[in-house]
Amino acid sequence: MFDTHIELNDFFKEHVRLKPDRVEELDTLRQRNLDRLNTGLDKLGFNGPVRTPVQGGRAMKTLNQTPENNQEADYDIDTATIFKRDDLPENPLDARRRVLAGVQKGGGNFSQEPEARTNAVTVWYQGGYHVDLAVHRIYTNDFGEEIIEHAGVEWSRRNPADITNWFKEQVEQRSPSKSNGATVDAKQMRRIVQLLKYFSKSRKSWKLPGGLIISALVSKYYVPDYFRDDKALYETMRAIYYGLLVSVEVANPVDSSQSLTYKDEYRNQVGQFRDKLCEAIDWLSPLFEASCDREQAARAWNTVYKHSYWENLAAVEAEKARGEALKAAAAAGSLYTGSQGILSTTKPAGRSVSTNQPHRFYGEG
Amino acid sequence: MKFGNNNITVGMQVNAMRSRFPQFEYKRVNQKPTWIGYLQPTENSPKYQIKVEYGGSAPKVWVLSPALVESAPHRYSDKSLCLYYPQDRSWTPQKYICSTVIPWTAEWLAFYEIWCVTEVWYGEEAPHSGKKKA
Repeated sequence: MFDTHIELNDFFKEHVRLKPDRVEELDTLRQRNLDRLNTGLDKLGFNGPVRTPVQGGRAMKTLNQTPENNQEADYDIDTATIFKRDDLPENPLDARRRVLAGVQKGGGNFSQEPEARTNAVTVWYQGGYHVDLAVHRIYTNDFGEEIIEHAGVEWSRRNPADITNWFKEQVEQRSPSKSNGATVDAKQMRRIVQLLKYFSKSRKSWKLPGGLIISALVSKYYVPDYFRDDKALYETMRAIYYGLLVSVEVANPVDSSQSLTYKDEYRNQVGQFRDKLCEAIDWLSPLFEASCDREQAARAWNTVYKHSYWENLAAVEAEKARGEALKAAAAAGSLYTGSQGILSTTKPAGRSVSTNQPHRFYGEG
Repeated sequence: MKFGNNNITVGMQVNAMRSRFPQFEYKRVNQKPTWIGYLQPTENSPKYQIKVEYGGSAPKVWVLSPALVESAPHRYSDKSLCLYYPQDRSWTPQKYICSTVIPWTAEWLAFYEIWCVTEVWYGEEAPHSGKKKA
């Protein structure tokens, strides 16, 4: 496979992962909504949450930039709001409505009214981001065990830290490490998740799975590579594709009795993901041609990601090849200038034109 | 016995230019033989307007339009193009401008376009240190 490890890494660092200043901005939005919630609940005479751990992509550190060709792609910053059981209504919908009321009472202008959705209370922002406040309750059962439940359609046992801890552990344990001879940066598995999340959002028309399902799939099928991220990505794409040919069901990685694809809609999205992976694997086939060069490799990745980074890289590589060809032709005495100034390596037909005479451009500046 | 030099006269240069690159118009500007015309190093390139001034010893070449990147390499301080290394004697008054300077200008433009994208000058260079005089 033609080596594009360095280029893929540059692409990842510059265009895929969310830059720290933007992450900080999102953290500010998150905190603003928690402050708003606490203020609002206080005004309404209710107690606020006892814990508010960040979760989802922010906690797993897999937040990405908005894809260049899909500025409408929506990203969320998930926050758990964990209340004492006695501080929330018994009905989970009422519990979510309580949090919604708190957010609304807390003040501020909303471009779109916040909403109590099935799994969280959502506050939207311009720029494709929204803050999801998932509602949880905590209590101690008869065995002295701390129980955390999530307010979905019904109360279900779910500790928001479980997924985050599971993912961090997977990334740590399964990514190649320099102490074992790897030359790639640490935490390769996380980069593969981000690269696949980015791919899944690279076209407006695609309806592919969200971050958690992609993370679970990468975790299940990840093929590490000690020396190259591009190979790890490609091989993981292939492994996921073949795995999804068998089944599009994706289990909750911290509770295999629960499915992440419990709706037809989610299974369809996973099926679409499988089909797009199949196409992407095909688009990358030029990388396996013996004649593949840097320009062709960049064009292949551009087909996958549809991003100006790869387009520009291909253009630069094409120009480099043109420069080398011109230089070689000039050195070999086989460069001609046509009457309009057009250079060619073959003698213009029907004209008595001699080759360009040898010369050296003067100086370096 | 004293032989005349083999320098090509201005008249011969004018005739040769007209034959080889007819799009170049000849005028005398400030008593200096001058040609202005267009060159297009590739079919996808813009048409660069070029001025060639021949004061008798060495022709000087400028790109009049489109404007070049300010930091474009291989130019003298007066922004004329450094097309050859004088000590190589690749240009002498015994050579035709249309056979040397104009093709080299086309090359300069092609390598300039590549440099704009790659930041690498692919044409063969003579090393130089210090500021060049116009």
